[in-house]
Amino acid sequence: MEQEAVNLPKDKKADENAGTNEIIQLVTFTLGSEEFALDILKVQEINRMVEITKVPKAPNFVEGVINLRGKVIPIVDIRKKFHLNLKESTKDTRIIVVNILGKTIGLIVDSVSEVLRINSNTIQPPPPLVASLDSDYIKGVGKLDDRLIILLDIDKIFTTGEHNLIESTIK
Amino acid sequence: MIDDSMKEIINDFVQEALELLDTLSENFIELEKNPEDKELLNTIFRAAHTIKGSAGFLGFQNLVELAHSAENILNRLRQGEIKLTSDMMDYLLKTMDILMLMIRNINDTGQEGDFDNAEIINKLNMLALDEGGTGNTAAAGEQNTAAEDIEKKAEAEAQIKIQEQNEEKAKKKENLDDKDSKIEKTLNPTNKTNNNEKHPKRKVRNLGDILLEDNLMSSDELSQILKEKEKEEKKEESIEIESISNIVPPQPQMHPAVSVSAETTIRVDVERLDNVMNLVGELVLSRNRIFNIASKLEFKYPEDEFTESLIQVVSNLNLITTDLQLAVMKTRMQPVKKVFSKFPRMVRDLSKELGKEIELNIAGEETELDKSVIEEIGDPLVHLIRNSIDHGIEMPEDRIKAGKPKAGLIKLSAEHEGNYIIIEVSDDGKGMDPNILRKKAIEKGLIDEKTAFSISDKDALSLIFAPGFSTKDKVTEISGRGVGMDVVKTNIQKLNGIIDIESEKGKGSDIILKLPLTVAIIQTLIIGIEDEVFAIPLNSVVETLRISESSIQTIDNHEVINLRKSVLSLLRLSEEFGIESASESASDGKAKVLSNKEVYVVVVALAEKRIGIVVDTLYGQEEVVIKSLGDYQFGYKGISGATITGDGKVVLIMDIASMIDILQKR
Repeated sequence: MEQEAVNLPKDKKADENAGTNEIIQLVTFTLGSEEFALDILKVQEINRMVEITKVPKAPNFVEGVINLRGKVIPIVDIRKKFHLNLKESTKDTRIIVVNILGKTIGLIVDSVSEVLRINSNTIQPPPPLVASLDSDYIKGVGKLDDRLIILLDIDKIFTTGEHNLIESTIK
Repeated sequence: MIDDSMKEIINDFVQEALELLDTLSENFIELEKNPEDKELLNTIFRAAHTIKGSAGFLGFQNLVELAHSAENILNRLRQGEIKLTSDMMDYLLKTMDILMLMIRNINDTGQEGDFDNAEIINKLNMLALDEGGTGNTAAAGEQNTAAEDIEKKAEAEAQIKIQEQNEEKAKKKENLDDKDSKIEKTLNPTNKTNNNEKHPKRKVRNLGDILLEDNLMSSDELSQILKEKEKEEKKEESIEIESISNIVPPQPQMHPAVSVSAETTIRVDVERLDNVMNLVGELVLSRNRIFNIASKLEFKYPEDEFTESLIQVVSNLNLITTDLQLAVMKTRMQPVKKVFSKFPRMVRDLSKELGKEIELNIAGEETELDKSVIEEIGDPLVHLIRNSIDHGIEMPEDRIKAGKPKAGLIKLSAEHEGNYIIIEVSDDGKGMDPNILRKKAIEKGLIDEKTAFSISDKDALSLIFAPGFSTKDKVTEISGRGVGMDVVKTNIQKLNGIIDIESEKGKGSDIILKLPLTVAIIQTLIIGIEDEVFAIPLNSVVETLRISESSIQTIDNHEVINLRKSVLSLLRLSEEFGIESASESASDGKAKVLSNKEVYVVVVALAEKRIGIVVDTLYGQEEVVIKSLGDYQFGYKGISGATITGDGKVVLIMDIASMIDILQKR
């Protein structure tokens, strides 16, 4: 295959040696019918849905906060962020706890499928528009048999403004 | 050059010296009142001497010189050779200030720094020699007899006396500066070689050298004294080992306080304590959760034997955790004396400057409170006391005219009240006139005329806390900028404290601060709006009311209620937080006001302000550990933090200061 390999932060070699068989591990999850993936190194843990405490006047994509073993972390409904139709949580709903630029944040997803070992050269650069998402935070699209997996760049998921909203505003 | 172990030694020195200086300036003020108190003079002398000794050991020569000059005066005072004058006290206090500066400098840089103390040293020496000119020979004679007493008196006083005696004699031959440099010469070489040796021993040897050098004593006499000394030291050591330290009189050169308490106290890094505190916080949360689960199990399986033993274990755990929490909190507790001790000096200096006579009465300085609270109350108290001195207490002649005693009285007291500490600053000065305050506030453009005269007298008193408020037309060194009371308000708010002012014209003012004992674990009132639960720090809660919606009135679009003849502004939490009401979403606003639904009003107060918060439900009181939302504030100030309740849920803690702000800005 002669596709350009995607520049992964932890896999710099993949860029230089495009076409080599670099194995990367991804956590895949679903939102509606689409399948997404995150670099496993960005994922701290995956939890079942718990009761979320709403935070008054928080930005609308912030669902609230939860207690993560004594630490209070914010929860983002990724459906709201991606402007997808909202969905009631089910028994499959999961919270993926990720580290974004040093902050611990929980993401609500419909379900978590599996941990995938995938050859980096099967990942293609993102097409201009995928599932009505902006493409900045899409790292690429992985092809696996007949499945199409959208690889997200978690660090780019929030705009600077959104980060500032989540982050401290104390003087 | 300075390695870590040296740094540690210097740190210890700085800590000790600062503590000693604190007590010193306190003692000095005390001394001014009772100049004849020999015991007090001795204590002061010992403290000064300890500072000098340690500084010499570490080679801070400037410090030693200054301390030495002060010590000279103190010694002569102690011997009754000179009388304490107000002038002398001023210079002694000034010396303490300079010493404090120098030691701070050592703390910051590790170096002594360039301080030119020649002037003050000269002055101190003059003072020491003053009067002494005539009494010099008599003094020397007196000390000769003292020297003979050495053999009989098996106590440390002798040690100093040898030194003093030598100094007195040396004075006859040389001037002070020369002698100092001589002592230095003899001290320094031994310093290098004898660093490991015991402190007092080194001193004695040096003194011996000097004595011989100046032909003041034959070597026979000297060796006899040295033997005496050694015997004494051995005795001391053995006694100390048995730790019957009471039998031995305080040893001036042995750092009296330290040698006795060294075995019972230990300095701990605050960070470590904070860490322990956090862990205990986590433990408290877990206990709450287990407690919750256990009570649910008990309800579900009342007869089960395992449930029963679980309940037993849990209640045991409960006890232990509570004790542990208290114990850890205690480690962070410090007596409020730490803050109070600087006020006598301040009152003395300021009243002198203003030509007033003021007595400061301190009570309850042994009251303990959390370190973080201690750190924050210093500044507010300074401003409150300055205020009392400057604005409260009248000039002596005015006081006499008003039929009051000539000297004004400022009372500073601290006491515990449940989980709070009450600090009160009161004076018997001229008090505050609400009408004058109103006028000034209008003049300064802080409020408009209409509001000024609609507020109650008590609220008018609160005007003094407005930033920029001052009744003075001229800015003086002491006050007039209108900053002080604002500082008081801000700091007290930061601590979730409440300020209460009482003042009667002509009789005096009374300012009461009510502060929580600790800041990490707090009592909260858990309230509900629709399905959502929030916590209000209980120390801000004054009372809760159950009122009918129909009793809510509207003034200028603000919802208020009439509470015991004063008007209380209301904040509807459901509106503020944007929580939609399930039952009322259909009906419009007017219907809501007219409805007879009962709601709860939580009356909260912060610093000097009070508002009512309208909520749906009151769940009760819970002790919670504050978790900072830290990185995640979502740009909203109304929430100060979060906590995890017994059932593992996150509950947000409301920030009362912002709530009051929000309501005021509307």
